Amino acid sequence: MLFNSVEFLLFLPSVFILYWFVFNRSLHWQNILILIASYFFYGWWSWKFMVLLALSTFLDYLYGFGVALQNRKRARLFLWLSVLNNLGILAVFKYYNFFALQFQQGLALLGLHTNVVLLQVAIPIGISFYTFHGMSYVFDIYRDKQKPVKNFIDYAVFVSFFPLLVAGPIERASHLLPQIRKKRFFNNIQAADGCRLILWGLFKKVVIADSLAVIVDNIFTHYHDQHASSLIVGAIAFSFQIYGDFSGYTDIALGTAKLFGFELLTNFKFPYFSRDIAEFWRRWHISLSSWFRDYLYIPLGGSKQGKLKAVRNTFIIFLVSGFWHGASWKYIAWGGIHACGFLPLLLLNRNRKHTSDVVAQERRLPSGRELAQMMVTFTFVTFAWVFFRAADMREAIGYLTSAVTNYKQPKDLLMCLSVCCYIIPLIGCDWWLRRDERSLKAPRRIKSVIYVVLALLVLFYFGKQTNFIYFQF
Amino acid sequence: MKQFLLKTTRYLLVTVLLSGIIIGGFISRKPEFFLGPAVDYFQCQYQYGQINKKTGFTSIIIGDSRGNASINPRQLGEKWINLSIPGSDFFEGYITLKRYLQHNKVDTLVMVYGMSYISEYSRWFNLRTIPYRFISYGELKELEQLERKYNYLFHNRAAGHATLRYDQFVRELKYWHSPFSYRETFLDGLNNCCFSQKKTARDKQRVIAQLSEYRGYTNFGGADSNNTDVIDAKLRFEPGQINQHYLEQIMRLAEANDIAVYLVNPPMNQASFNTYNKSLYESTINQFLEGLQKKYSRLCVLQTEVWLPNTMFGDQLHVNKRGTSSFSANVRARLGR
Repeated sequence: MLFNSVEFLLFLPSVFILYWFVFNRSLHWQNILILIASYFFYGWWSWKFMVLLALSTFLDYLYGFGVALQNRKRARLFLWLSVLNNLGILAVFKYYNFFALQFQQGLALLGLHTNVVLLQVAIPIGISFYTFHGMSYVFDIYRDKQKPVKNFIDYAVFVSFFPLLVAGPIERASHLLPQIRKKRFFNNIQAADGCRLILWGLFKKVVIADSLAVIVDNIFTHYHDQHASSLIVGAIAFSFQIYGDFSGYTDIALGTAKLFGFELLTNFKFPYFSRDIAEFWRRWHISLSSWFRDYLYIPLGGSKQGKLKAVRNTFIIFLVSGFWHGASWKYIAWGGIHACGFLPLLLLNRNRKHTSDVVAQERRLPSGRELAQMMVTFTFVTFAWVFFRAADMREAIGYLTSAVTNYKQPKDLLMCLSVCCYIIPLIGCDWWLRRDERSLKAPRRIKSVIYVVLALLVLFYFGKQTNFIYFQF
Repeated sequence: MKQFLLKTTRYLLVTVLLSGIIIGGFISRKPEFFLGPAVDYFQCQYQYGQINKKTGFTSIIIGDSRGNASINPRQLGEKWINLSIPGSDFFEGYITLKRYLQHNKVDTLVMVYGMSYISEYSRWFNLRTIPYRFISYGELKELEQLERKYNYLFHNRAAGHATLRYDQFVRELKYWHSPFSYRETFLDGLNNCCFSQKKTARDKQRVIAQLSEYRGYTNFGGADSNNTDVIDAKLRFEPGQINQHYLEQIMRLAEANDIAVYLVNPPMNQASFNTYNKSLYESTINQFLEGLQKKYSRLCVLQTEVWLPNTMFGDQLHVNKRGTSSFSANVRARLGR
């Protein structure tokens, strides 16, 4: 079920009413309702993959007890079993075909021609997200940050809570489980905030991202015939499409969770206002980058074992992060490009320069220097997004080459104007809200007008029901 | 909780109401942009106007877009007019004849319909006849009763019996120009309304000038088609029950008004003919036409050219000016004039 579908518009109020009016007296029954709703939500795509989700959940629940054993050797054995189990699921469903094809091509280079068996199975939606939920739970128990949960329903809700099931944010057991186990009370302010987030998320997805998607798809499909300026605008449009799409999804997820009394982790903090790549990664898909930081980068030694190891670890997490997105060289290249962008900051010890503040914190506009820094960072990120968006490496390189050589084709000013119409309001709104995230400071009547205008736009644009980009991961 | 629910409901209501007022306002002021493609709107409205007024022409051609394109009434004679409506079938044909007879006398009726529309697999009924309100509400209700009798939705047999009442209700909303029936296409309409006013005005002028000059004939241009095959040879032709009912009604009107009736199968391009020739589709169509000939003594199926060379087509289905000229001459010869 998509957030931007009519089914979800019926599903959400139904679950909301049952949750607060029918099962409001018992936490246990509220959790059971959420679990059933989550499986229904997930099963709407394919009931077959529900079995995989249930199996993965059940195994990690059991491993949780094993990892909590006093005997550290046995605990480590269960930890590895959990890692093997989760990565095994990913390896089979997401990466098997990639590795099999690479193996075949490798043998072909040696003159050995073989036909490898490929799996004809669709990648289960959200597989990368729920396996990472499970792993974070087991890791936290192993590191004594979390006690194993006895109630299976509570744990199953943590893994499969429908707002975050298919595209995150990737939650931590220590953050979400206490909320699942605590009695929840309806809070007017929290629910209203949730509705605002849902509205804003729908606006970003339905109005901005889906409209840009039409332009971007056209440019990337026919990049040979486009003028260089159109290709540059196309890449910029994709930067905002993926931002609108993914941050829109996250806002709807966060807003939906608030309606049920949950607070999820923040996943985006105005990433395109970042002044360097390090800041960008503290603002973009925060739950994934912090997951890799906590469960991969730090266990590998982080930056505390000398520069050389820090460089190695940085490259490992960026390449793995790229590979996490999909079994393709283009994602690995995308991760590698970001690692290269991060490297100078790491070597010059400037990677932790902008950790807490937001650009122009006390001012209305950025300084010239800040503006230049933001533009350089955005250009770099946009360059990397070309690899992410292209069908494969060849297309990405072809696109970038055409972006600097195609000057004979006619310019498409109307397309550039359309892109501006969609991205300028988004940048303006984000800039307005950047200090106090999502808190709109305006007189009540103006706020009401803004909400109604946003709702009208969503209503007019609603209906195409395109998938969220991150669903494929 | 109560406060939250009230506030949310209030916002939803205001949004829905406002969107209804906005969409409804635009539809009522500029229907040509919001009910479908503007050219279709102008063409259909012109034809509806001709059908509902006294024209003095006593020989009429009714049909779909291929009827519009394949016969130039000027070539048939002074008393001929082409009242074809693009995307229509026997149902609209019956309404056309019924209305035209209210103001005019008719001695000859030529029906030109592509067989796929008679099978009721066309989407145009819901895209033109319903939004443009060619039929009255009473006629729509009559159709609904017929649908209930035959247990399927007109031109959408795949919709299933279970949802028939609901589908009829949705169609009625569309008929009454309910704003939410046009929500999905509203932005496209708004875009055209803002940026294509001049072009639309030119299109209107062109369409109306052509229709009035050629008495309802539409020229599909002079370009050759790419000779693509549009026939599914394995298909068994099955006329829709509702269409057969309305053909019956046409024949009754013809009987009552002493009208000579001719049925013409419009020509196809060469590639389509190659597939069609000796196929199951051809044999089942021939069976149907022979059956009609036997059933209605007043009806004559004209043996016109089944196909024309590719150079005579404007697109896959419709003949161009040369094709019209050739086919009209052929029809004229067959009619014995």
